[in-house]
Amino acid sequence: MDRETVIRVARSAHLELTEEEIELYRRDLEEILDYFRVLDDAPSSDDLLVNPVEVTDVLRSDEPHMEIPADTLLEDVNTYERYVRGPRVQ
Amino acid sequence: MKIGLEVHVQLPTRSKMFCSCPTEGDAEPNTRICPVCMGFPGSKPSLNGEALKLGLKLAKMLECSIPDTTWFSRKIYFYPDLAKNFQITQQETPVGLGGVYMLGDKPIRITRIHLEEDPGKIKRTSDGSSLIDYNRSGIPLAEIVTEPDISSPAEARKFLASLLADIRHTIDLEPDSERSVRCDCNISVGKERCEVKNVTGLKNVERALTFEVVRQTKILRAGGKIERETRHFDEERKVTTSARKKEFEADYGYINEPDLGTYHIARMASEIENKETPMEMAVRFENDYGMTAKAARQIISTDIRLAGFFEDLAAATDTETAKCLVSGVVSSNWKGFEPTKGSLDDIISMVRRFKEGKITDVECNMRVRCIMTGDEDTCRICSEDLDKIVGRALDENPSVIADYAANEKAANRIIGAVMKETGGTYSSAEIVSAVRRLITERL
Repeated sequence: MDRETVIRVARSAHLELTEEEIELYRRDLEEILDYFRVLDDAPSSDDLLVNPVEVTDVLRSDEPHMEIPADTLLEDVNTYERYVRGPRVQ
Repeated sequence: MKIGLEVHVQLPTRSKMFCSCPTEGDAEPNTRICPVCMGFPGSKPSLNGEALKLGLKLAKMLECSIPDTTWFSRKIYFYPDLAKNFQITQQETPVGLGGVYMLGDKPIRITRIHLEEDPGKIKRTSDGSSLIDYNRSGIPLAEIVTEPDISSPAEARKFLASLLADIRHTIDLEPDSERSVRCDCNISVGKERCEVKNVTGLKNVERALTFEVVRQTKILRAGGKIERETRHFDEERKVTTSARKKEFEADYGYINEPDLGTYHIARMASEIENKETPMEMAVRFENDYGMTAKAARQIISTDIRLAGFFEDLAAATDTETAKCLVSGVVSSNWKGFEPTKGSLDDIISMVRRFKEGKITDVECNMRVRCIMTGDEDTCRICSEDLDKIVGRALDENPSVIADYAANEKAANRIIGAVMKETGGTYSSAEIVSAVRRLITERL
């Protein structure tokens, strides 16, 4: 993993990293990617790689239904007049 | 000048795209939410079959080729309106590819049509932080992308109006759905293009594009260079402004959506029969009924039910009578008229009576107007026979009887009054004869 890739990924995720953090994440990300390299030895397939288990034509009927009350979902969320508080945006 | 549009249409489903939350209801923020549209960890999407079906109907309407299989992708970006940090959309296999839409004689090529979920709605506060309503999060959208075949802002508006009428008819959108259409407009006057994002409504699309034409032309004339960028349209000031680059920097890192499967859409599409679109209907009206293109479009764009009624009337009477009646009295009173089978049948019987010579054309028009508007004066005149109206006029002017004995011209006062009241329902000969007869009876 090179420095430029780390900077690009950070920019996409709206993160500002210090020089130390860039180096730290470069090593961490490299380690993670190395760990996944084991998949290179897995047998390849010509099938669509959308899902390892084939799931086809599973559709839901268009029936409105709410299982959990909205108020319950908002209990542990930081809200203001029912709006979810989010970060600063440009 | 080249213009290409990306048109987002909300699909009229009762529940959201990937969860069962209702699409309509309580307007309070965050009342129609669940773990899926709030992006809670562990929640899994499930595709609404109706949304897929409506997308396929539009793909067929746009004469797109439909791939055998489709699946969804995750478009990754970080913004608070998207709780999961990715939007479920279609990247590699949209529901339709390479279609065409005929705007009159001009083909507008359709690049693709794909399905995706709408994000939530952000409200910015004075300190710059965001407040989010996730009621819209997961609302099903179809995105229609055109090739840059549109050559002016006015044509873009015309295209959208026509496309929208066809979409409305094909998937039964609410008639007042103009505001539910959102557009990203790509426009280049010179070589480089700019994209104006998120323009709502037909008028605003034309305004935003016109502003861009003027802006880009000025820059080019001054020897400047157009910078490829994303811009916003300010509805109040009616100008486009440069969007901060960071906000739209695209590094979406698409991956296939593993929580949904694949869908055999070619097979599903083959079972879908689309209704005839208004554009197709207009062409048929020209060919089958010898209508001008303008007249055909006018009837169809007024209301598709009016076009249907025209066909019923033409079958019950004849084409010329139907053309005359529908483009005249029926069209002019259509607004505000709630057509029912009964009321439409009444109009047809009235026109038949006219064709059989039982009533005059003027009376026929008036009686049709009475059926459609229920206007009291018109209906009263229609419901009374001529003798009653003349009798009432004579009661109000009793001196006319005596005057008539001395001079027959005295009858003219009554004839004039009755003509004025009946507004042409009866011919002058009918009125003169009735007035003379009734005065003679009273002498």
